[in-house]
Amino acid sequence: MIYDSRVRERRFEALYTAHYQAIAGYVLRRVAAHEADDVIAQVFTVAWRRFDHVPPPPDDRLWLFGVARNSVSDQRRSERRRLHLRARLSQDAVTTGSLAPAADPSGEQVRAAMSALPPADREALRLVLWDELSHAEAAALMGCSPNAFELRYRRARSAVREAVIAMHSAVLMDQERPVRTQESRTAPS
Amino acid sequence: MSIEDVIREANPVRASSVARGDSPHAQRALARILTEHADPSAQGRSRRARLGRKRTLFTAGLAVMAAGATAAALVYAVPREAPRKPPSAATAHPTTGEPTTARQVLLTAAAHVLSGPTTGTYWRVQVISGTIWPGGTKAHPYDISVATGYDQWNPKSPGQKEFEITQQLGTRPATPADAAQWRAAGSPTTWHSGQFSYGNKNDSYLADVPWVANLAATTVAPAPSATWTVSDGTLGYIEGDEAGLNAAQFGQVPARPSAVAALLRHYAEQTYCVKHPSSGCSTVDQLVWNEALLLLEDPVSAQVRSATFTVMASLPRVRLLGPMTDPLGRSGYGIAAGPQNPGSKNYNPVKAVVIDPASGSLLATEDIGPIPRSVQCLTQQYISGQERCIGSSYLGRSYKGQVNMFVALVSAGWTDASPSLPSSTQEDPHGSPGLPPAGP
Repeated sequence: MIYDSRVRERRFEALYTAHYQAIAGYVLRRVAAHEADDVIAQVFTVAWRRFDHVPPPPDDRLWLFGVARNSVSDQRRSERRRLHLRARLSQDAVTTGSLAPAADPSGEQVRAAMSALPPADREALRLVLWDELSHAEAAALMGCSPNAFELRYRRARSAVREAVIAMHSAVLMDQERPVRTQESRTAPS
Repeated sequence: MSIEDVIREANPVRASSVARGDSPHAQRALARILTEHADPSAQGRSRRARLGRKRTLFTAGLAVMAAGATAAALVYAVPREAPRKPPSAATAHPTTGEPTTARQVLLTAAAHVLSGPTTGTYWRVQVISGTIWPGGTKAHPYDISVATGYDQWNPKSPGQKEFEITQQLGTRPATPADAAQWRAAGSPTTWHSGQFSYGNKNDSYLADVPWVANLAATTVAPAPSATWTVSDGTLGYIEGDEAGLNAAQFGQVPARPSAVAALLRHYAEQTYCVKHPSSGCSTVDQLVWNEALLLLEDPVSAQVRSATFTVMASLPRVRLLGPMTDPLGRSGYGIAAGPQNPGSKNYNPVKAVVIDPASGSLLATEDIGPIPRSVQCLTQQYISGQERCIGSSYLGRSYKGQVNMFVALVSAGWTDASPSLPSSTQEDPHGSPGLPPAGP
């Protein structure tokens, strides 16, 4: 099909505006924040260059996630590209913070439990619960069958549940101890 | 609360904290893609990229280029292996005095390429990359340097594990002058990169998450980390936007300069920019220059590396910047190949390449030039479409000869050794190859 170039550009702008936030979130969850803008730009640059290959909605979103997955992977393999891209993209100096939220202890525990999972199991949880993909989309993105994905997802969910429960009871015990101490101290008086 | 809700709550980047597609930030990035998508410099640069690997941190040494001036040698705490050549200035230019042209430097390098092992279990590439950031205050502006070491072990045989060992090398004031300012500021032990935010909380972009890192003049490097993936046999690239090459393919690269030139030109002509030229595009010569730099880090013979220097010497607009010390303190000569960033108005650093003619080796690449204000302001705010720098507490310096990023090549060569891996080595969670879902 032949598109007038301006029509093509408008269609791309619509695609970009509609999916930027989802793709940016996906990238920000996986690379250091100060590198994320380069990777996000790369995802959409690929989409622009291969615009004729982008499927029509609603499949365009998953296509973009596929490109984002590759871009994140590529970025991690290729620090130098980041450095060079930064030279071009950083004229506006959009640099953001790291992803380590300091004042979020419970989230930290959950993330710690997730980080102990096998990488693919962890990714199954992230795609569904953080990136808000459907199970079918997540399975397609990970290149596994829906059944295999379901198994992976449930296994990961159970593992995190158990870890969180274990951590939670440990925290409760820690909290209870000082209370008891105080009671024992104050009781005699 | 279900476990799924608990995990959702632990999302480190909530969707609501990410810029929307119609935000000024996103729209400006969009405009850049549309105007620069054909920018070859993107391709030319990205090619350099693929070989490299991951990230880290820092140190800071800067080599200040100079016709005469020199540089602050920085001592990197980390690289454990000796540089490919001893950084002895005395042995570097033993013969006929200072070269006066880039061509002289490059042809001398071509004549002095050293050969190493021609095969091995792994093709190992070690680089240290660093970037310079503003980190000071209005009263005491200074720059900090963040460097990372990457040690990449690519197996010759596909199907074997490919390792990448990464080590942050510390965060430090970038130069002695920066260190003086840093001390004057009370030697703060942390620094903020700044943050990016929109006018109000509801439209904030990671506004609550400043990037804070430890800062010390003598940071002890943390332990390295490592990941592995299963190799497909790729050992390097000639053109970053094209497929990589395996050992056999690199073995077929011809050794005559004219044949190397033809090969690089062929790769350049496959790039999007050459096929779809636009005003921002690099020329074929510029692409060939960048490809030559990549080839110098690839597993090719000494004859091919020599021919590559000869090809570089033949390119137009290649110029000598002068003697330079690279970020690892090694002596060489700085050479640039004309404008490399034709699409950029505000920020156009000199892309310097440091070459040691005595050992016929590429030492480092550096971006040199004053870091503009717009780059220095890492904390910007958008209100009603207007951008405002509110990052007054994170100020850096801006001066001629400022190095704002570098990649130093520590070594590249075949080895039969095995990597010394930290116990935390794990599979790269993003390393499994995958293609986008097939479109119609």
